Order: sequence, then structure tokens, then C-alpha cells
Amino acid sequence: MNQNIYRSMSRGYFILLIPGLILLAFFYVYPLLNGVYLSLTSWDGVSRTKDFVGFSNYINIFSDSRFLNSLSFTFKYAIVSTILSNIIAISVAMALVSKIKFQNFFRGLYFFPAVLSMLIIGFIWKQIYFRFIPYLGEQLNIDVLQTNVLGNQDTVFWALVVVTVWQASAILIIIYMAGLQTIPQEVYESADIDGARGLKKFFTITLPLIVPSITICLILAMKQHLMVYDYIVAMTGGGPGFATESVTLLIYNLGFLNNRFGYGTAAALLLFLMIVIISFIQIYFLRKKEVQL
Amino acid sequence: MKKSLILSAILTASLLVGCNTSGESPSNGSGEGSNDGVKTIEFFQVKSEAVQTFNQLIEKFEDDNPTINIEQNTVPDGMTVLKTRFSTGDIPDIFITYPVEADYVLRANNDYLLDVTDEPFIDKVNGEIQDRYIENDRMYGVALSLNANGVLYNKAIFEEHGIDIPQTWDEFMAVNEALEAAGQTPVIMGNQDLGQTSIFNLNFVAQQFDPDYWESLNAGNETIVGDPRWEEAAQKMLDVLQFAQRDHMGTDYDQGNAMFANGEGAMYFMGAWVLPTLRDMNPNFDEEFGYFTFPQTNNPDENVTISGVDVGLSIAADTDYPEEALKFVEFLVDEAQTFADLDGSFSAVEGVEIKDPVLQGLLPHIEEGKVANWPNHYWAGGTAVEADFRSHSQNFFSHQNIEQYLQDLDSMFASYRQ
Repeated sequence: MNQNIYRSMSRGYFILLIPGLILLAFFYVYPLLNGVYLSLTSWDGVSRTKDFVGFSNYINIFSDSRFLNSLSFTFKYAIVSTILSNIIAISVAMALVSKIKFQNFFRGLYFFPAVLSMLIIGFIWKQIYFRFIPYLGEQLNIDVLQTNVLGNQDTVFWALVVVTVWQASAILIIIYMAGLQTIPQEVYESADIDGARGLKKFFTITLPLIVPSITICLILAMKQHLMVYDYIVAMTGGGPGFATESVTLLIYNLGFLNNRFGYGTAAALLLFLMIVIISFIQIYFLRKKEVQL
Repeated sequence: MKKSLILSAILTASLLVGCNTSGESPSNGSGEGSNDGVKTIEFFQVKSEAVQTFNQLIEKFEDDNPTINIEQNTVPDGMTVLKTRFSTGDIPDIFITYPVEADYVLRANNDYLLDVTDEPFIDKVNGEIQDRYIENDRMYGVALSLNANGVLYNKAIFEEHGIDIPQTWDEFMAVNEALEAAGQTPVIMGNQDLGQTSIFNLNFVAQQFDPDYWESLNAGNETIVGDPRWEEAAQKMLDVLQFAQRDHMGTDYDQGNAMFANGEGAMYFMGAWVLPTLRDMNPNFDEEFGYFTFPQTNNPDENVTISGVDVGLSIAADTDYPEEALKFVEFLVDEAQTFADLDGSFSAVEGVEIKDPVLQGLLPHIEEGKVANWPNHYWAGGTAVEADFRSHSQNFFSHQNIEQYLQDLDSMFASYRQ
């Protein structure tokens, strides 16, 4: 019976889907296919003809030290930022769902970074790193902080991670708070009776029950950080030297500065493939850990 | 099964729709929307500080030519936008182009630019500058103004320490040492900004190498590593760098401008394009600051001022109104004196007098012809290789290893050879 209702209604639903499908096809599928074609050419973005070169863009890119360098920076950055922002988000979310004073005020405060655009955040932190941090470094007599950390190849990575974690945590906190509030109080009560305390309670009760939230947060954060662009453009422009050139910035530079549209598109498609594969791996492993009450 | 059939049908259909629309769009997007026979011409220019100047000139032009409407279009990061517009076929009618540079060559060779070789206004432009536009014996652009690059200095600081304008490299280094000994910051730099890392150092490069060298380098006949001229240039970069403010790697262009305009440093290596910005920051700028030419060597006769085309105009080959576009360009050439007065730049047009008080400091070199074009304009790879050069230079300012720098430059130039 269920099947019949489903079938008779499905046509109506299907018609409703059509406008969305057309838009999706026009704005996603067509550009994607066009991109696949461009990545097989040596188009420079200007000439009126596009020379077909087969897979040579893809082959060359893996011996391009600049691409490999940006790839290793991007992965290092994405993994460190994802782990740190999730750890911080879980801790803050647990504090915010517990019975503390000014709970709503703190919730608003911690959500605040999420409402600002990444570019604005980048510019604000750029000023903080230029003016405030060096001042702080002088007062506290910490040598490494006395000059702009964005201008130093050894510190610029961590400077970016701090900003990223600061902003990315905000959204994750909301998701984790929602996840934590779905855990029934009875589970904790029976754990108390069984004598579970502190960390033990966290690792055996809380963590397994918020795995769905962890899945979504890890995927969201990882994808966002692998595609980092705004912070870098606002704060370092990829420098000093090539120290913070992320893959997305490299794609932009290849296409719009170096006139290598075909090559840049190939890099973009590779990044796309990597993100898809990583997301699937994350889903596959984390789904296994999910528990039902 | 059936569902996926319809779905794929729709997808295919929408793909076709997509193909059709995109196939039509590359027609000339501008110039449309004419009413009452008014012809609209899009003028795409990348100098945000010159918008007012051009507006005044456009107003005058439109008064004389009521049937032509010039639409000035300035966007941030204009050169990149222009590049995208070329790649999508949406080319403005008139736009700024720099001669010699690879983008110009590429566009000229792909028949995107209108041939202006035989236009009468070409003769009014300084021949030596205008000839930079020659490509396959034809010219596809006209030079209007020139930028120049030198050392801005704070007159009060120089006077306070009894320092004269240095004429040679040794004098220049002595000035730096004297200022530092007196507790002054000798040099302000904004090296966090990639755009700033190819300004003072290209002075040494421009002084050392002529266009023939670049042709030979582009052909792969030169090696940078082990070349004493490159080693000397790189060493001089480091020599200057040690007199910059402590956090020069963490200071960007705007911050550097503000520091210099507020008197936090004695000297600033910068092109004349920065003057409007500094005047905004310090109303007494003209009295308090001066310009002198960068003494790259100990022989004043060998020192050069880098000067390239700042505003040069090209017309799209497939513009709807070539006559009107040419008329506007001719008007701008005829009004070069007005433009120079308003813009505060050197003019490429003959017979134009420079009234800007600060620019006077660079005038002797310009008048004597002791100028060099931006060396990067000769590099195969155009703005791309220039951008890479900036990153490599910024890298060098961090690691300060000359050999590493020259190796990076070698492989950089190699990667752009076809």
C-alpha cells in the first residue's frame, strides 16, 4: 500500500523537482562538464581556439613542485584546523549546554564569529596581527610575536590556523549543542548509578551518542578548510613567498595571473575529486561508529 | 528506470539550452542600449585614482560630441577582470594596455586590438615611448602617460640630520647608516604585500640589463645562477633591506603608506602612482616630501629611473563604433596637458609641461632620457611571470639566501619558455 501512495504521488513531486533540476544542470552540471573539457586543453584564456592536449595537464601537475607544495600546505592546514576546531567546539558546546549562568549570553557570544564574512574576518585579524600582537609581544617580551606573525614563514601557518579555528568553531558549536541536547537524561542517570565519572562518562556515553554530529562536523569543516581561499587572500596573498599558497589560490593564480586556464581547471578538478573521496571515506568510517539508543 | 530516463532527457535538454545561450553571448556586450542615436562606448580603465580625472575629460568630450556617450568603468583588480572579459569574449571598446608586455603581444597577435599605426595622433606622442607598441611592424595602442619610480624622502628628517640627497650608491648607503645611527628608521617598506616586493629591487635589475639581455634570456641563452650582475643586484637588495623598519615583512602597502606619510621613516621606494594617496593622508605632503632618483651605482651617469607607460590605450578590434572610439582617444592625446596636471604623472605626449612639485625631483632623469622600461615587461610570460617574481622576491627577503633566490629565478624563467 505504501508503495502505491508513493507511486501516485511521485509524479507530482517529480514535476516540482524540474525547476531545481534545470537550475542545477545549468549552473553546476554544464560548467562541470565544460570544465572537464577545458582541463583537457591548453587554453590560455585569450586565444580564440582551444588546443586539445589530452591528459597531459593532469600528468604535468603531479611533477609541478608548486602544486605539490600548495597541496601539502592545504592538507596540513585542513587537518590541523579540522581537528582543533572540532575539539574546541565539543568542549565549548558541553559547557554551553550545562547549567551555567548567562547561558544565552555566552551562546550568542560564541556564535558571533559565524555571522561575519570570512573576508572581513581576514582583514580584521590582519590588523590585529599587525598592531596588537606585536605590542603584546613587546609587553610580554616574547621575541617571535614582536613582528607581524603573518610576515614570518615559520609562524604564518599557525596564525592562519588560529583565525580559522576561531571562526569555524562557531557553527560547529551550534551543531554539537543540538547533538548534545538530544541525549536523554536517563542515560546519564543510569551511568551515574553504575558509577561512571568524568572522562569515563564522556567517552562511553556522550561521545558515541553524538557521532552523527561529529560526522557532519568533520565533513563540513574538512571541506571548508580544503577550499580555503578568503582568509589567505585577505591576510597573506599566499606569502611570504609561497608559504601559504592554498590549492584554491593556486587555481586562481594559474587561471587569472598565469593565463593557464586549462592547467588551472585540471588542478580544480583534482581538488574536487580529492574532496569527494575524502568525504566518502569520512562518512564510511564514521557511520560504522554510530550507535542507536 | 523510466524516471532516470526522463531525468537524463531533461539533463540533456538543459545542457543543450546551456550550450545555446553560451554560444550566443560572446557577441560584443557593450555598446548596446543606444537611444536617440547616442552611441555608447565603454572605457575600461584600471587606475582607481584617476577616475575623477577621466570624468572631467569625458564631460568635456561629451559636450563637444553630444552623440557619443563614454561610459567609464573601473573595478578593483581591473587587469584580472579585463583578462576574464577577454576570455569570455566580452571586450570593452577602449581599455588600458601596457606595451611590450606579454598580454599586449598575445592580444595583438590574436587580432583583438584595432590597428592605430596610421592614425594622425600617433605622431604627437614621444616616438621613443610610442615605439614600444610596435608588434609585427604595427601599433595597437597609444601611450598617454608615464609612471616613474624613485625614492621619496622626508625633507624634515633629512634637514634635521644635515643630510644631502645622495648621488651615488656609496653616498646612499652612508645616508642609511647615518640615519640609523641617529635612531631614525632610514627606509619604510611594505613587503608583506606581494605588489610591493618588485619595486625597489627591479631598480637594480633594470639598471643592469637591457632589452637585448632579456631577449637572450627568454630564448634560454642566459643563466642567472653564477652571473655576477645578478649576484650584485641581489646583494644590493639585501643591503637596502637591512635598513628597513624592523617589521617590514609584516607591513603591507596601506600600512607602509601611512607610516611614511606620518613621518615614521626617512625614505620610501615608490612609484609616482602613490602620490595621490599620500596627499590624501597628509595635506602638507607637497611641502614636506621630495623625490630623488635611485642611485643604483657609484657612477651617476649610469643610474636610471624606471619609467613605463602608465596609461596607454587600445581599442577593441570588433568594437561597434571604431570611429567614435578613435575620436575619444585622439581627444585624450590632445588634452594630454590637462590630464598631466590633474593626474600628476609624466606625459608620453610631446610638449607637455610637468607642474607637479614633488615629481620635479625625477624630472632631470626623464628629460635627459636616463630611463629604463620596467624590465618585467620584456619577460616571456607577462604579468604571470611578474607575479611569480614577486613571490620569489618575498621569499628571498625572508630567507636572504642569494644562491637560492637566483636558482628560483632560473627555474621560474625556464618554466615560461615555450
